[in-house]
Amino acid sequence: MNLLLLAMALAAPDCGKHFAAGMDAYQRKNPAEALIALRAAIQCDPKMVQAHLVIANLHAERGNGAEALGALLEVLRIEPNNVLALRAGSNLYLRNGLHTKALPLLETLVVAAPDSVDAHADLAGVYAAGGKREAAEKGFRRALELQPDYFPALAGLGNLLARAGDNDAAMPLLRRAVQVLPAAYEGHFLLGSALNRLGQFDEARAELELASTSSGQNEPQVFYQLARAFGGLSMAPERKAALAKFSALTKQEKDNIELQRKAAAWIDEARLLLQAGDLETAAARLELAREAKPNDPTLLFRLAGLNFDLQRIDVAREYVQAAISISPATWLYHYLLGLVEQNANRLTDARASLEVAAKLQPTEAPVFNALGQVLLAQGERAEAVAAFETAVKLAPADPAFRQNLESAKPRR
Amino acid sequence: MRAMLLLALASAGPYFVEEGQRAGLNDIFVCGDEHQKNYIVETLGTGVAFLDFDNDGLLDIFAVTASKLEGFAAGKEPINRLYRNKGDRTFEDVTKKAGVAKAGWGQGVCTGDIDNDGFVDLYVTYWGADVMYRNRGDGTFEDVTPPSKGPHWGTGCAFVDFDRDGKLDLMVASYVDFDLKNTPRPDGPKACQWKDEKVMCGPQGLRPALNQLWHNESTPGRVRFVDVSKKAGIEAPGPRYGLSVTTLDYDHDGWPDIYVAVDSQASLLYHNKHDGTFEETALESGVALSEDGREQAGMGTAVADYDGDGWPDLVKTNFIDDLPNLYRNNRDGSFSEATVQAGLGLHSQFLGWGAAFVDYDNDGWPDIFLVNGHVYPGVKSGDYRQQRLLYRNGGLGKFSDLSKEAGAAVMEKSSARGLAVGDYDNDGRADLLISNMNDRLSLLHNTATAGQSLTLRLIGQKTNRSGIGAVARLRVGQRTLTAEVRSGSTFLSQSDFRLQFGLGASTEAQAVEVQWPGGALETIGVLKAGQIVTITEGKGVTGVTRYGK
Repeated sequence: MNLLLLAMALAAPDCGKHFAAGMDAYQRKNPAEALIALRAAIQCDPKMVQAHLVIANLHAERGNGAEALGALLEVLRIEPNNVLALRAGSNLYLRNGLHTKALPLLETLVVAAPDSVDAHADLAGVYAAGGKREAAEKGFRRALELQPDYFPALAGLGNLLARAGDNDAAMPLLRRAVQVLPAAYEGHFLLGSALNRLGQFDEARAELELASTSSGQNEPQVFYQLARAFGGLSMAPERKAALAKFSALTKQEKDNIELQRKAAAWIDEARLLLQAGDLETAAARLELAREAKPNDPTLLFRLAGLNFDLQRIDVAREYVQAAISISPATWLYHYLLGLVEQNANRLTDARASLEVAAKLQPTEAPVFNALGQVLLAQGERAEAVAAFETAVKLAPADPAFRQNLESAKPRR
Repeated sequence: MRAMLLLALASAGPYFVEEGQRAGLNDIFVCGDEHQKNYIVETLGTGVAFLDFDNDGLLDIFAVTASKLEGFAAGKEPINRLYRNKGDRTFEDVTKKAGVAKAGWGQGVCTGDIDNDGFVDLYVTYWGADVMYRNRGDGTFEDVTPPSKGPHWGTGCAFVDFDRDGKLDLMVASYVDFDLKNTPRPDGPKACQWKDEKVMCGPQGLRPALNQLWHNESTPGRVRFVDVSKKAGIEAPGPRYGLSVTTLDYDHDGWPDIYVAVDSQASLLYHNKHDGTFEETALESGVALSEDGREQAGMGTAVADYDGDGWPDLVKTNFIDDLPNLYRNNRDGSFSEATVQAGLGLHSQFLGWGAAFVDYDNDGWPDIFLVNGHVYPGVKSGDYRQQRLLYRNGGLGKFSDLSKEAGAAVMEKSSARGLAVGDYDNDGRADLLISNMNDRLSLLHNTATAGQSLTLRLIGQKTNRSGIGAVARLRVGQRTLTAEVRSGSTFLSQSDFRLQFGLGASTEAQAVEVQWPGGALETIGVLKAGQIVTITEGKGVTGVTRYGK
């Protein structure tokens, strides 16, 4: 997403101070600080779409699609025809295979930005996937009117027509797609597949070999089509080898899916072990799950928490820092990091993390309580008392917070 | 010239008229809740069969029912039904009299003469324990179910004499090793999703099951089937979500092979190795996956020589947002997918189940009939009730969608599942029987002004009495028409064993030959159109009945 320049230009003047601070932190690559400032900007002006857009960008850059989408949907709630949000949101949905969710966004986008070639092509792709052939054809053709050599539209329309048996119309489009973007395996694959259908196996083989030696080298369907071409050419050993490669790649894909399924089961099992008090085994199960989901911030956080409970402080720190790098706006992660650092007697770091947590979630009493403890240990009694007071105010029924406050107050 | 002839034969619609209620088929066949499917067992529906159980020359009907998860009050449970054909295009319910009034979670049905006594027997699959019925020949059946390996979820089945010993063996597909208690519901915390809507779970994520092969070791007076699934290599590919079963000798080696349409995984082609074992060759043969190499949700299957080259081709139905597969036999042990080229790439908005090749207009080219219906009743992104599809075979490897012209009975929307083909009024035109989810059966009477036809009833002597696996070839003008007697096929259903050949404008088949399952070739002379001819192995023509008699 290239939203930043526009966002800066559009910032509302009254709340621009917070927004500017957020942008400054963002450019200094300090996501947590950026988020705090941007949220302050939104608190000042809830309709500041540019702040939401930057937050979306921040999350998207870290692969945190769900939160990015949340921010984009907020933009669309404020401005339903916001082109940037429509485009970014539909992209996120499409990337995750959520065609039905992308559809209304794209339908709005082609009206809001009628000359957007990618919007027309993306919408046509969604229609094609949903079996709406006529609408898909219309969309691809509109994209090609806007940009005659637009690869996704050439390939999409060519494939659509080839699948409908209209080879006379399909083949020139697919051949043009290959010329326009010779490095893309998709063009060679689609052309090779169409040629297979036509029984032109020699040319199909050439195209599919190009696909199989380029970026399509790990795509099982390329090798399936290649096997078809070899079959048509009566090249039995080559066909067998292509099918073997297809099977191996398919197995690899399935193994990955199975690993994800197992990871979910391990996480469930860890939860039960945790309830039973078997922290060691629970941590071991979560470690297994992490191999399948190395970038899942929730899992990293759970691992951090478990290791913290097991007093493996360095390991806990590593995990929670990893979680924060993916999801910097989650106050809980900063809170845990604060506790970890407090435990390690790294009071400056602990204070910094707890202050971030407190800014991200100013209604959580335990954060202020922990912050008070750290401040007290640093000898900042007055600030500690203020933190404990906030904790007590937020959770007046908690005797521990009240006791901490009483202990921290200067004795007469 | 031929094109002109075909045009001359084509008549204005409708080609089929709904006659179910007129025929007395008023019972409702149940499969789970009508409005909300919480579990996958509620989605498959049930099968139907055309069979002549009393050998009166008229096709009777057997229809399977499932149940509801909440059950029924004692005595109110839905039961499978046997309807006897009264000869006036109406049927009478003889279920109780015949001794086949069984409740339970029925699924599929297939037929075959397991004891070679000349009376067709029945096998009914269940989510639970399957049932085998022996026809006593006096209008009643007895339960001769072999000791099972325990409850399973049986789906499609087919009788086939895989070792050519003259006795029909049995192939049964299994779907899911289903655990009702531990399967999430759509209204529960671990609900599954389809297109962002909460739906029942499966089959992906549930445990697949192992297909079964039973060897017929019956002796006179004693029916006995032995499970040979492992020994014969049926279990070798591992558990799958198996649905329909069809048999075909795809490589013309004289030994029957078995194709199983598999849901959400690669489908299976068991190649007969002539020694009582099979080798799974679907991937190598090109019938495991879609044209793109994707696993599909295979549901129903049908086999016929659609392009007139004498070799059996395959059609398979699939899930919504996908196309059916038309696999053309390459005559070298492999198939090529011809779906799009053949004109079957038009509709991806239907979720297909029963499939059949049926030459509805008797022009000598097998047409394709498909029935459809969604699995999720309430979803916004697809119709639960869907029309049927009739694709007319134009004779040049191309089909055209004639559903609308075929009439309201074809365009009627239902959530259909099972499909059987048979000429129940013996007028020389193939009729259709369809099972619909939680609804009455549909009986589509063929009213097309069609070409001439000839129907062959093949009776084995050394080979199985049902003639299953026998291939008839008719020379009609410059063409040779080929068809095989088979059990099972379509979806959970059984079509008539008799082979009906459309002869177009020709009033006779100039030559007829029958290749019996053991390979023996029997040559018959000229046979006139407009009749049902019984050919008994080794004896030639042993009976002739004019249509309508």
